[in-house]
Amino acid sequence: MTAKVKSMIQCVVVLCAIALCSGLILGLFNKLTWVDPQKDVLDKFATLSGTDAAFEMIEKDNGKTYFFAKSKEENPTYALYVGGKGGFGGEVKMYVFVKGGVITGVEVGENSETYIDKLENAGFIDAFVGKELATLSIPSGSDLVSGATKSSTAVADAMKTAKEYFASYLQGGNA
Amino acid sequence: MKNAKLYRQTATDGIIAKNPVFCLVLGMCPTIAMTSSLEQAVAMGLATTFVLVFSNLIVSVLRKLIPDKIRIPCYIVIVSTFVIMVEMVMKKFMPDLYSTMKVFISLIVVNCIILARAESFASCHTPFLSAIDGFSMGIGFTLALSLLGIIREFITTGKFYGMTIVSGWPQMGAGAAGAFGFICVGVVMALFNYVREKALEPKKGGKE
Repeated sequence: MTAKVKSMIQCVVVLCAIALCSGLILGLFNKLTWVDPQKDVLDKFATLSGTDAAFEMIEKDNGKTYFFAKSKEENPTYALYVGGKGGFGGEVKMYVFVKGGVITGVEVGENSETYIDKLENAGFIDAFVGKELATLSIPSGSDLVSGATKSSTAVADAMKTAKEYFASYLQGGNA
Repeated sequence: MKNAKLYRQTATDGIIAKNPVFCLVLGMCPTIAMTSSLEQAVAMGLATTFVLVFSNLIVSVLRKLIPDKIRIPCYIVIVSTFVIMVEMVMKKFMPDLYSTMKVFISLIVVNCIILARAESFASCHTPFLSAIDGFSMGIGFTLALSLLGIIREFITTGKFYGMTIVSGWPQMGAGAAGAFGFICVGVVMALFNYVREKALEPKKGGKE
């Protein structure tokens, strides 16, 4: 075996050994830090909805509606985790809670916006609470928050997604 | 005695004399992108410090085993292992922060500070000294990012670490923009180096 071949074999062996060790360490770490996305969202629903009941998943990954669940109660609270496009930093995800057709809670989820607190201070997000989702008027134009137009657009788009998805769910006779 | 002086110098070099942001001008991408708020700046700095310390340590331990021809791919595998660990821990324990920093955590793998220190220091020094160098560079990076984060967050929102300092502060979107980040880095870098040079001057005079 020539020196060149020996050198090549040494390079391959060392690189494979390092990659193998990295893989084993990462596999162990993954086991220790695994986050079940579905359980994570259901826990978030339970925390943010204000109800004491646990939530069960109805549907997930339906277009811009990422999760749709309902609470395990007689008069259930429906929870949607939806995405709205048009934000300054991309998509803005929102938690929307509906009980008896009325929006009982709206919370901002994953986003890369810098002006979400501007929307909150202007009452833009809280304005959706207490309104009927089926007949919700989606803000646009002058209704959006000045100086945070793109963030407001994304939040409005998320509420529109929630409205359309919930309407189609009800039309399916699932209420 | 000699060793103690070397360790002390290594421990302090990364913070002032060889600050990776203001002196070595490394890691500019996360510096500009992650200093729009102090929280993000500190998180990025600490994540990079963790990766720097352990990647320097492992590279130094394996320095005699890794052939010269494949040193860069080996360093990248080692660095990326620690970056993925950081990502997993943040996803589990700090999901809100993770969701805003996702892309930039992955970019720590190709942060020039980490590869530069692995190549220029860890590959030719002992593990303990390499770890100290990684820690020093990481702390220097974190402090630089924190300083920029304080300035930019205050200018943009009038806040410090999310807490309102000046109520009624006009929201200045330009503060979060990349262009302002460059200007901020340039100004702070000039001031830092001016103060550093002034601080060193009497010592130079004494030696002459």
